[in-house]
Amino acid sequence: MKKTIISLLVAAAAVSVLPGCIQETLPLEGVATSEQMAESSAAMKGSVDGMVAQSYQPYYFYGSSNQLEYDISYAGLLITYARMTNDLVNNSATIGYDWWCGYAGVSGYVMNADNSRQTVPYMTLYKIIKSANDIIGPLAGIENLNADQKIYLGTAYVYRALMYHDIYNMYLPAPNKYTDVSSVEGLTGPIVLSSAEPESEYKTARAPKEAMSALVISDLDKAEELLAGYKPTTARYPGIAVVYGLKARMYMAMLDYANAATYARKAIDASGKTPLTEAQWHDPKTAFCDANGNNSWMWYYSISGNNMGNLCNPTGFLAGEADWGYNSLTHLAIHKWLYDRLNRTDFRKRSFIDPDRQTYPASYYEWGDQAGFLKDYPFAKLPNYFSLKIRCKGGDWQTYSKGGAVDWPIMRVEEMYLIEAEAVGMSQGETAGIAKLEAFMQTYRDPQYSYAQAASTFNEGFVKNFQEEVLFQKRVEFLEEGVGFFDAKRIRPGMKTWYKGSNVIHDRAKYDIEEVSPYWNFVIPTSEIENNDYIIKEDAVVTEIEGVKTTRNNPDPTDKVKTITTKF
Amino acid sequence: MKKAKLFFSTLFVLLGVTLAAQNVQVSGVVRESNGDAVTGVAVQLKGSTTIYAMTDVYGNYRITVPSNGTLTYTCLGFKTLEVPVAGRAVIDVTLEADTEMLSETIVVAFGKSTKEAFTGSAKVLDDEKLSLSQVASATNALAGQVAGVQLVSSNGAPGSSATIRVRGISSINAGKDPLIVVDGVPYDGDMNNIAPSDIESMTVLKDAASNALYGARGANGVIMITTKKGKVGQAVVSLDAKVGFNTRALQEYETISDPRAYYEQHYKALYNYYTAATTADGLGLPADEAYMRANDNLFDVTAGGLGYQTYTFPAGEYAIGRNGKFNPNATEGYQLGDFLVKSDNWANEVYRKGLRQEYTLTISGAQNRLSYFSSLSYLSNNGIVENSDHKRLAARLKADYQAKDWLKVGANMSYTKFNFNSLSNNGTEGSTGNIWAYTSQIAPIYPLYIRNADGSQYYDVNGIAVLDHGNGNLNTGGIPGTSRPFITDANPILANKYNTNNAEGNALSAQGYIDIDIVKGLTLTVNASATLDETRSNYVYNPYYGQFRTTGGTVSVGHTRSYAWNAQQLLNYTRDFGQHSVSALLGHEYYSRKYYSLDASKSHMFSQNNKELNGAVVDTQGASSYQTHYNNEGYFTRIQYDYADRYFLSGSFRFDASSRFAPARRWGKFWSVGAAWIMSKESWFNAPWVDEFKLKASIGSQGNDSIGNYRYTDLFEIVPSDGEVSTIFSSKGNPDITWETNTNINAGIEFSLFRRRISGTIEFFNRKTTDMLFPTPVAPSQGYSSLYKNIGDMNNRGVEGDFYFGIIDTRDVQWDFNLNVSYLNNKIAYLADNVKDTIRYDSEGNAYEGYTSGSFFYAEGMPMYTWYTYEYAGVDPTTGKSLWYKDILDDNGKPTGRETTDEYSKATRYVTGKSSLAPIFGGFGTSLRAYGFDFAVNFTYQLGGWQYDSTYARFMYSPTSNATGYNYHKDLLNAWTPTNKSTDIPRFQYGDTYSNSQSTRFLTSASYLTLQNINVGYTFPEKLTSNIQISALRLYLAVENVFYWSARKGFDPSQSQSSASNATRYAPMRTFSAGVTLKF
Repeated sequence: MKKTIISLLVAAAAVSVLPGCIQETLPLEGVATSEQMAESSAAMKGSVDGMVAQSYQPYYFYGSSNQLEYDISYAGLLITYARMTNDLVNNSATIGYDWWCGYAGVSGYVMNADNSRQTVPYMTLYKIIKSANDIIGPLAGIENLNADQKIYLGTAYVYRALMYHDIYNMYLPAPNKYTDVSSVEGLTGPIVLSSAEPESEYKTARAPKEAMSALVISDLDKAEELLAGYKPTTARYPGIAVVYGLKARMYMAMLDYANAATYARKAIDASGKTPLTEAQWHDPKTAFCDANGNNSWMWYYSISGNNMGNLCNPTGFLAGEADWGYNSLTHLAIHKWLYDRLNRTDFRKRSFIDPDRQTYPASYYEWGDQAGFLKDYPFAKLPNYFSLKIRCKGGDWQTYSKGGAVDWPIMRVEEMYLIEAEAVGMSQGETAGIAKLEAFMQTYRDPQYSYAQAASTFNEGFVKNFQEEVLFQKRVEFLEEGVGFFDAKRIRPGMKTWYKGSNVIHDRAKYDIEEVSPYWNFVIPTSEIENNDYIIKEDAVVTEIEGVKTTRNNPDPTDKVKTITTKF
Repeated sequence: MKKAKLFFSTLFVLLGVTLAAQNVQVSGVVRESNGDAVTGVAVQLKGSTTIYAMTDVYGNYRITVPSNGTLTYTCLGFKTLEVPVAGRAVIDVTLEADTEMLSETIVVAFGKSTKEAFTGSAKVLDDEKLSLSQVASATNALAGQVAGVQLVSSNGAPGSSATIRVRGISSINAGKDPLIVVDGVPYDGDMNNIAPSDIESMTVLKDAASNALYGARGANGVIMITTKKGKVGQAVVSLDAKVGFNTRALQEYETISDPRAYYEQHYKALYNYYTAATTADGLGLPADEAYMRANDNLFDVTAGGLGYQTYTFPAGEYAIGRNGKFNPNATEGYQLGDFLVKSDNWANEVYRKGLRQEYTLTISGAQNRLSYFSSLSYLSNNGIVENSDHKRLAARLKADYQAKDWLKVGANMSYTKFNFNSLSNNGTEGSTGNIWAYTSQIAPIYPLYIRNADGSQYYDVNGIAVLDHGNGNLNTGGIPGTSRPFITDANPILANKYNTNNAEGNALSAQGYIDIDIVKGLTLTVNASATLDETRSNYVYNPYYGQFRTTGGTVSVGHTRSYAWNAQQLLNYTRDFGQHSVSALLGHEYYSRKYYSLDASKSHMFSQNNKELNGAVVDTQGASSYQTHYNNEGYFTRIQYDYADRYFLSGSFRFDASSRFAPARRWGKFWSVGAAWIMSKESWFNAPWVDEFKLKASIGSQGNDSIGNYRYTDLFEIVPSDGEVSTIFSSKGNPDITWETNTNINAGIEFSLFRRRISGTIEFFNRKTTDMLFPTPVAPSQGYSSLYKNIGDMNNRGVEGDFYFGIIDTRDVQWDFNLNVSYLNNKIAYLADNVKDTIRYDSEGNAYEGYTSGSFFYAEGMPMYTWYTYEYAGVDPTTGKSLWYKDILDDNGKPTGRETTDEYSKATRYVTGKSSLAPIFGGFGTSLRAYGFDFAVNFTYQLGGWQYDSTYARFMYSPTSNATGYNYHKDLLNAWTPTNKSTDIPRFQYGDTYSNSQSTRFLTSASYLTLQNINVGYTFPEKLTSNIQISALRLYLAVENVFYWSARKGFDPSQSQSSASNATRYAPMRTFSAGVTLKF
């Protein structure tokens, strides 16, 4: 009897736990599900802030398990742009530590459609576009947007415009001596819009440049309206001046110099920003790392110390002082010819270590070396022309999570001055442009600057005309920042890395490229071609699908440029 | 009705007894055949349920029974004996061990089965076999022991566990590991936390009939681990101690190891580059100039040289003479500033003999109603380089208690304390932190040490014996004035010495069960278990040298906790009806696993000895914590039927849910049916030399839910946005995601011949995976690159044979031989259209639709891990350049033929038809026992398959500005030269970037034979030892991982199936031990 009772009790206890133990699990990791997003009232604000924060994310696309160190979202793209014109020289014994040298055209680095060097930029741009579209989709249909919603929507249009502007410039093939781009002329990237907008008439084929530029201008027009009167709390969020600035950039790319000049000026005026002063430029704690240290940045992104890779961060790649990153191995320096062309009176020249260390010893740089880097580091071991331009936040060159948790400019007002100079020169005559250029240079950079003197070196072959002179100033002004590459693709100055006295040490990085490098025409990754019927391989036959012509990929630039073996 | 019958029959018996016979008191001793008393034997009057007695610890019993009755002696592990009383007062009996019953029991899902009745496919590895392997992780002992099971080990470090594949690879993207079940409970912990000496048996279940009850988790096979329990009889105290050492088992490649010869070889590269015509990518210099320039540049790292001069040459003399030979007048060592630069052999300096010790004490027994097993073991296993070791203290207590004749309870508790020191960056070829990458790849010329001018070790201000970092800067650990092109600016050996990479923790497991016989034949079992694994990790990066030099030392402390909970309710019913026997199981199981992680780090440490966060001052802002939760629930049933112990049928079904799927898709159905026929028991079967001949077959399905969490929904990353919470889209979900389903067919025979002198099984199987999970690619312009879908099928077909031969079987000499062989054919059967988005061709122009992943091509009809690479076409005899094949394409991009090219970028990548999977594999071994001596040896092997020998490829390079200072393989001495044109090895010329590029040239046969272990022992005769109260004393020697034979010296194809083989992984260890086993 007792046994029966016990049996029954145990059985009852056992059975009571029988039904439906299975539990719905929700992530308690660094992720949220779409269900959790739907329940959150702050989700839209979080998405907008996420889009803004998205400019910098370590291991953005491939994830930290794959650790491609150049996979750092838009921050990585800015470095990519900075390396495309080969204004920096790698000084390490082996090239292997330089994650970006493939972009700099070093031979032996595959840059075809299968390579992640092509996938990462493409994915970065379109992933940010998706974030923008996910904000535009739900908001674009609402008739009476409240004030917050207007800002959200306007901000999303600005981000989308920036991405498509970059796509326009990266994928629009520039004719060059090394690859045949005749069958892809005028083509950019596919246009992908939000769920609320009608599909692009080109479906997912590569949009013609006219359609792409129209989209960018139209997004900026909408942003201009939505953001009218909005004063962002910080320049992490784009305001009206950024909208003008992007228009100026886009009109430059469209060769519409008159509009470019107008919008560059509007951007300067609306921004209330002023170019960096000498002290700001060289400030060891804030220069090119802290938005609070200047009044020049119109737009920037910000890296948080608890969301960064110890190697995968822009400062570590570019700052001369940063001890934690790859630059402590690659020791990037400015190309000798760029350095040589600067006047001694141009304060920017003091960002680079002069080969004449007798005249310019460590103490010469020490006025800006309160952080002690040059004292602790053997100055004599640093290569010539070594760049000290990019600083570590707070001067902390020893702790990556502090020194590398920087703000980084996306748009500085100086760019607007230089756009204005070139655009005025191109639309109102060179003299007017020269005047603008000289005014900017003499007021803000080098009191001794004279265009005539600069022009006297045009026969040396590095800088050949007015446009290239403005470009030269951009290359110096924005060295390591990523501005200038798109202009180079437009102005076609050539790219010479091997010349008498060149500080390039590696045989595989010695070139003399005429006009345009084939590397400047980015290639659409294989994954897009394989999953998008409208884009086909560079050698495939063009067909038509439902009235839309398929479009070819840009040609593979790998090893199309021959390296030079001449000894001088 | 039956009860009434029983009551009356008992009544009649009792009446009959009282009427017909007188009672006598019977006493006696029960012994086993060796004379030992047997405790806990039930002595019972036949036909009575009330008259019984039990033997005591001396085997004595006393019972009063009718003088004409019959006594039955029942005890687990012995054959039941019936003895008529026949009026006697003293009856001593000897019980015969029921060997058949002991060996023929198979642990199956949620219970046991006899081998006869088992319709599925399984192999049992008992503790005797297990004890032949010196492994810290028990599953590693499966190597070569079980047909159909393959072990792959990419890490030889102490505490690493091999990857196990049961009957091939079932999936491309989902988990491929078998489910481990310990004492009936799914185990997700570290195998290293279970002391192998606690294990009674490991049973590998391979087919549906065996695994279907594990539903969503059974698809990759199940390994049932059963821990030891007390055996009937007196307490046995057993002590085992072994001490030995570990050495490197990986062979070294035949490289040019003499520094002088290495310089000669490098000189050759430069000289060839300078003299080669400009059309041959050379500089076209005259021989004289080339000779001088090659000598001038030999030590200049920016001009293609090696960077380090480690010999002194008489003034005005060059390193290399005009004959290409090293200057015979050179003296070793070179004075560079304040330092003496000398070549070192890094490998010799770094490897050590690692001491290994293991001690195990067990006490076990079973008396009356209680059986118990307790153990305590300690392992200290030091790896073959400094700071790689594993220490484990494990204790277990297991007890079963027959509380009432209808109630049995049991508990099994174990505790393990562990401590690991490990190396970082295992296997990464170019990593600055990988000791193996350095020691296996660095040229023999580079110094490991920084030496003062007098040759003594240079110590820095901190008293550190500085090892060369190759960066030319004394402050950062380099020799001033010279820098190393080989993985510059790092020295992992120094880093390993001063860094900490430690994990220590506790694993606790508690399990309890209660068995209730509700009515005859019906049993309720309730099982519950909890396992807890806490690991505390501690990483310290030193402030002296290396990447974290300027941080003042960085310390990270992490903690993870894994907590798993399992509850089972099982209702078993067994009943016989004459020749028919039926048993049924109804059950429910719930499993939940939570994983918690927490870590943080700080820099600027007070001292390298204070490895805690509070001993450092600057937060590196990397604090993180998270938890994951997985749970799974199933309802299941199994019915088994047999007729006359000849015909067996079984069927099972499980209704299973997994939290990995969307709520609406959560439940799935898995099933199996099986049948067996023991033909030899038929009356017409007339072959007396056949002991047993059994046919069996089964079919069924299981699931595989190890596909990652939350694949069914969109995921957003939570990231900071200047202090605000923000979200970034990270991956696209698919609510339709479901299990991968594995449908298994198994058919085979089991036989035993000549009184068990030859026995074995032969089985055919076909495992078909359907609904294989795929990240189906999406155009990345959509903002994401893939979407998980269940599309794809895979097949694993094969034959397995497992054979045993008892060659000699006498009282004093036993010699047997065992062999297992498996043939496996793995094939991807179906891929969705948008997964097979690429057409690729083999060398014959046959087209395959599929996709590329790394160096493999995946297509229908092809096995996994089929190499997709360039095809080497030998050397161009006129230029000496490597040639590869290149397709000639028509306008549609289809190949119409092929030609050779010396431009790598123009060569075609082909589907090679060569997979890294070997079709044939297995193991064999033999054991001999004679006059107290025992000897056993076991081999594993694999035949066929192709592996990429990437270390060999690395060593067959020509130096370039991107790769200088790696080892040269001796085969380079046979490189093409204008006078040596008939060779397969291209010219050796500086700057030839593509000379060792990936191609079929380095695909190497993956066949190997490994002498897995050798054991030699001697057991002293009992009559000698029993005088000193020792019941058994055995001395032995054991060697594990003795030797291997492969296609090339140094090449170890057993390291991986899914990636190229390379020597930059922690080398497998060879273990020598001497030991003693004592039993009291």
